[in-house]
Order: sequence, then structure tokens, then C-alpha cells
Amino acid sequence: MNHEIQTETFVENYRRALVNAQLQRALSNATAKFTIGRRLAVMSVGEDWEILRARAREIKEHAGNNLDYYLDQFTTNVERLGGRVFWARDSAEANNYIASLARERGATLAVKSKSMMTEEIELNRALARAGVEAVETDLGEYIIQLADERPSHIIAPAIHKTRGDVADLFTEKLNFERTEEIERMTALARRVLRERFARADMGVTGANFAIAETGTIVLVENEGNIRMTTSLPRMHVALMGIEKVIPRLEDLAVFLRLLPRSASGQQMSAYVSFLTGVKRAATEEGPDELHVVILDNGRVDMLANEHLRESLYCIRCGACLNVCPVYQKIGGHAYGWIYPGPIGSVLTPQLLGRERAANLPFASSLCGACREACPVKINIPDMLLRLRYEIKEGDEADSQRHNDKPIERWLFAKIKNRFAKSAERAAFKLWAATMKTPARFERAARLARLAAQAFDNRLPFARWTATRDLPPLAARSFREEWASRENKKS
Amino acid sequence: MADKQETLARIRAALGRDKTIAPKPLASFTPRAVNATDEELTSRFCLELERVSARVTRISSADEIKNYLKSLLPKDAPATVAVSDSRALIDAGLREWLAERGANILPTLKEFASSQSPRVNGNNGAELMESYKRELVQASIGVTSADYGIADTGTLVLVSGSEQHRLISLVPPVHVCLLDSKRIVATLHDLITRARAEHYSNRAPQAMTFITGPSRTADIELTLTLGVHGPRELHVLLHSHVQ
Repeated sequence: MNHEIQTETFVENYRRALVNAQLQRALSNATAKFTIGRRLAVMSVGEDWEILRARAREIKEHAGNNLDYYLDQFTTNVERLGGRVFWARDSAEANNYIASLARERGATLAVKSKSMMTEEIELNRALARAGVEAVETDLGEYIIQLADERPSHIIAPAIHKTRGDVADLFTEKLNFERTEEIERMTALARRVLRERFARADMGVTGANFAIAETGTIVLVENEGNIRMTTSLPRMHVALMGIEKVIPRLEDLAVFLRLLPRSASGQQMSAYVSFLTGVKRAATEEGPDELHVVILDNGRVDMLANEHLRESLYCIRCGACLNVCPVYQKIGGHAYGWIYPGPIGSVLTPQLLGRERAANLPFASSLCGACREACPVKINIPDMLLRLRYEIKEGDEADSQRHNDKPIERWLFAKIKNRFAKSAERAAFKLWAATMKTPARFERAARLARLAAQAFDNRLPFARWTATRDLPPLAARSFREEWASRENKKS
Repeated sequence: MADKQETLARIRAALGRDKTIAPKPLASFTPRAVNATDEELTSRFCLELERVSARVTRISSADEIKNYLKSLLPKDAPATVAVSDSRALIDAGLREWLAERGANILPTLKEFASSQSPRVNGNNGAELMESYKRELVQASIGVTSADYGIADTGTLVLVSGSEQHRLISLVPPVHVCLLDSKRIVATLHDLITRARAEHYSNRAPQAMTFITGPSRTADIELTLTLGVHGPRELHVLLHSHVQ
């Protein structure tokens, strides 16, 4: 396993996943547990759940439509309270800023909490190149880091690992006597990471929400590692995408009811921290430096695309993964990058480029379970359709531009395209003609029955039919049956 | 390289306008009000806390706090206890009592600073914090008091302006938290409305912390394990105006 982006080998990835028995067991166990937990938590809210979802949606739409205003308000407040704000257009700018900050302050060890944003920009690698060791402190992320892998679920990064795997890993990497007891392994990680917390010069986190009116960063967790990361080292660096800002504190009364229930089925996560500014006296707790790094990294383009703007409303709860029939079978790694599942199939093509993740929007049955589960009512199936359209249009535009393709390949693509188009048109003409009169329809249906018998119910279009069963056609049509019964009566 | 003006300009372009305009805020959202007596709120709070593996005890006097703490202190060796500087704990005379029993009381940062040399205190407090951290990891119990409770979820809310709570409620393996039952509100919405009015209208506190049960993880095989980074035990002592 390595960290190269593997979205282009999606087909090979999922084929491997489907025959991995251990992964299949882990996935069915995890997604079932999460789904049931979420159901119960939603039920406990009762009919207010739908009101909360609608309100969350409304807030995110309002914040998105006025993002320039709220980002300005948020960052002005952060700076007023002693924090520094850095605006980064892409991962390189963000990484360089954080790495040079570490270098300037002589930091050699950074502790990190789980943050999809830092995964997105591969901060750990950038820090390593700058001579700074970055240690993941969320237990799941720590396991993944020791194994040198990628997380396979947004909120449970190591669900693909068994306790035996973790025991092997801890024995090998941490030099401890092997145990498979989960309590003892957890205690072990606590001991090792405590020492890192005590030594670290820099704490790096993401941000679940950024409150414009107060300049507050809100972080949600269960383990306490985020609280450690933000209160022990003398520097706190928080990374956030431009879309994390919401207008008011009162908006949290909505999001903090939706997020834990959707993510882990909890009424409330064990810890929620509201962090505002830096300490004002040496005898106060908390870091004396706060750096808020605000990243675009492709998000302004999402904002500009009206069909896809709502991808920015995601609060990273992972509920859509657990209910997705595709994710349930192929797991997170098959998606080839850091955002798996339905929301990953929407985000990845936009963040990496549609041509690099062209398979992902097609890996969905469009059943709509993700849309039902989403606490912000994101219409994921519609966006998948839109991306399919954009990807196909892009292919065509490509073959028309033929910039880097040899002329014969370009010609072949063009002819194939032309042929496919006229074949499609002819098929629809034939369909229209057939459906026009009952007599034609009758004749066509009879022909179809004969053909189905001849091909033993398997049509010769292998790519489509290899994985689909054709419903057997009745020997007599309904009309024929009806007519013969009428005849008998009379 | 990106900067604020450049980024905001690109965002405006994406939204199809060339000037930032202050939006009309969304109308405030008022969820259904909860009609519950104080006693009902307190019972709900206790029930929810027990659901998340916290222990909750109702007490009616300062002596009961002491008795409860006594049951937590190790019998054989003197313990190190970190006690926050909250008004309620000072009034209960907890520190004096603990000291009499031979416990080693960890002072707050402020007290700690006055006992250290100017060298430690200089350098913007960096060394002070380092020495304080080394002391704090020795503590086996942390005692704080909460500013609010949320009945709906069994959540304790601690605000940094009122006491030094961040490390004391996090680093020691056992956290004991005192709460006045009159400060229990029904819902998260009530809490945010109240905390906003009482703490965020002027200068926002640097930290407001929600605590709902002990530290927990399910990262190995989704098996619940308590005390991964923070406390393994959370004890809540509920009182109404202890004298």
C-alpha cells in the first residue's frame, strides 16, 4: 500500500476488494452497526429531524451564497483576537506556509488530530520533507499511520483492520509484547502518544465549523486527542476549507444535533471545543499562537458551478458511506483517494480533475439512499448525473480538440463517436415507430419473444448483460391471453 | 500567492457579483420549547449521563463532596489532585481538606507561576507551561466545576473565563465535576442562547468545552473503549447551592 492516487485503477481496486474476505466481513459489520446506530439516534429526535435537516440546508445555502461576506467577518474576528490567517490557493501554498512556520519556530514535532483537509493536501509528507515529524493522535489514524496506509472511512479510518492486524502492527512498530486485547492496545497507544503530546511544539487540527460572528473554531471528537492537540503545544494550526464558515453561534444548535447522530449514532460526541483566539496572559491555558489556514484547493470552482455547488455543504459525517450499497461492498480504499463513498464520487472528480476520476460518478446505482441519509440534504444522485454528463462532454471536447492524440487515433475516435451517435439515433427512431400503432407493437413483442428464446434469455450485448438477468418473457402476451379468454367465453 | 482580497474577489466572481454585500441574516430558528420542571430536567440529565458511562451523584452538602472524593483517593499512597480555581470549589474548602488528608494539591497556573523563578516565568510563559505540564501528568484526579448542564444529552459545559478547566478536566485519568442543578438547561439550543448572552456578547472566552461522558474510542473493530486520551472515569456531583 502506498499513498499514490489510485482513482484511475478503480476497476482493479474494487475487484480486489470484492474477493477480500476479511474486508467483506469488516465492511458488513461496520456499515450495519453505523446504520442501525444512526437510525436509533434519528428516531430519538422524532419528527424534528426533518426540520433540523431543512434548517441545516438553509444555513449552508445562505452561507455559500454569501461566502465572501462571512469569510471576511470570520477572519477579521480571528485577527482581532490575536490569531493569524493565511489564505492558500492550493496544497503547495498551505504546506509551504506550515512547514516554514515550523522551521522558523524551531519545531521538530507536530501532533495532529484527524483532519480530512490535511489528508487532502498531504501535509504529513510536506512536514517530513521539512524535517518535522507529524504524529497522528486519533487512535484510528495512528494505526493507519503506523501501517503507512490511507484511511478507509471518513470517521472510522481503520475499520478494515482486525484486532489481530493492530496487534501485529503495534508489536512490530512499537516493540511491545504482543496482545490482542483492545483495552490493552488502547492503553499502549495512550502511553506512547502522551509522550508525544508532552514534547510537541505544534498542534495541527482541522475545523468542523468556523463561526463568523465570533471568530470561533469548533472541533468535535470522542477521544480527547483534539483537546490535547489544541491545549498542550504552544502553537495551534487549524486548517479549513473556505466552505466551513457558518454565520452564527446559534447555527451550532442545529449542526451539533445533526453531526454526532449522523456520524456515529451518538446523541452528542464526548467532546466539543469552542476555541476563540489565543491566550491573553502567560498564566492562562491554551496556545499562544493560533494560525488559521484557509484553503481554496478547487473549492471556488465548486462554488461557481451551480449544479455542483452543494458539494460544499458536506459536514463529513460519513452517513452516506454506510448506507451506500456500493461502499458496503467495495469499501473506502477502492475509491483510490481520501474521500470514499457517494460524497467521494462527487468530491474526488472535482478536486483531482474529472479525467483522473472518470469512473467514480458511474459507480452508483442512483438509488438515493445517500440523499436520504445526508443531514444537509445534499442531492448526491443529481450531482453524480451531472458529473457523468460533464465527463462525457469532456471526452467529446477532448476528441474534437485532438491536441495530443495522433491523427489516426483521433480519426478513429471521431468515427466511433459518429457511429455511436447515429446508431443511437436509429435505435430511438425504430423505437418511436414501433410504439406508434398497437399492431406494430404486437409484432415487435412477438419478435422479441422469439429472439429471447433463441438467445436463451441472454442478449448478445455482453458488457451490459453479463451482470444482469433479463426477466423471462411470457410465452403469450397479455393481449393474446385476453383475446383467447374472450373467445372461449363467447 | 493567494491573499484575502484576491480570494474574496474570486469568490465574488464565482457568485456572480463584484461587490460584497452584507446579507440579510436568516430569521432566527426557534425549536419547540420543552416544558419541564427543574426536577424533570435534572432526572433527564442524570439518565443521559449514565447512558454515556458517567457516574452521577446528588449531594446536599460540602461534606458529601469530601466523602465522595475520599472514596476515590487511593488508600495506600498520597495522591496528587489537580483542583481548578472555580468559585464553587474554593467555597467548598476542598483544597484545605485535601491538604489535611496529605494529598498533594496541584496549584492552578496562576498560583504555580508565583512559586516559580523569573526565568521560568519569562519567555512569554513557554517554560512555565512546560513545568506545569510535567506536574499535571502526575495527578490522578482532576476536580472542576461546570458552568452549565444540558439535560437533553447529559452534557457538561465548562467556560474558560470562570475557571481554569482545560487541562485539569482532560489529563488526569479521573475527572470529578461539580454542577449546580439550577444551571441545567433543557436543550442544546437553550444552552447556546444562554452562553451567547452570558459569555460571547463582550469578549468571547478562549475556550468553551462540552463534555459528554468519559473519553472514548471505537477505532479497533468498533469496540467501545473508555479513556483513550482523556479521563477513563467521569464523576458528576450535582448540588443545589451547597453551603
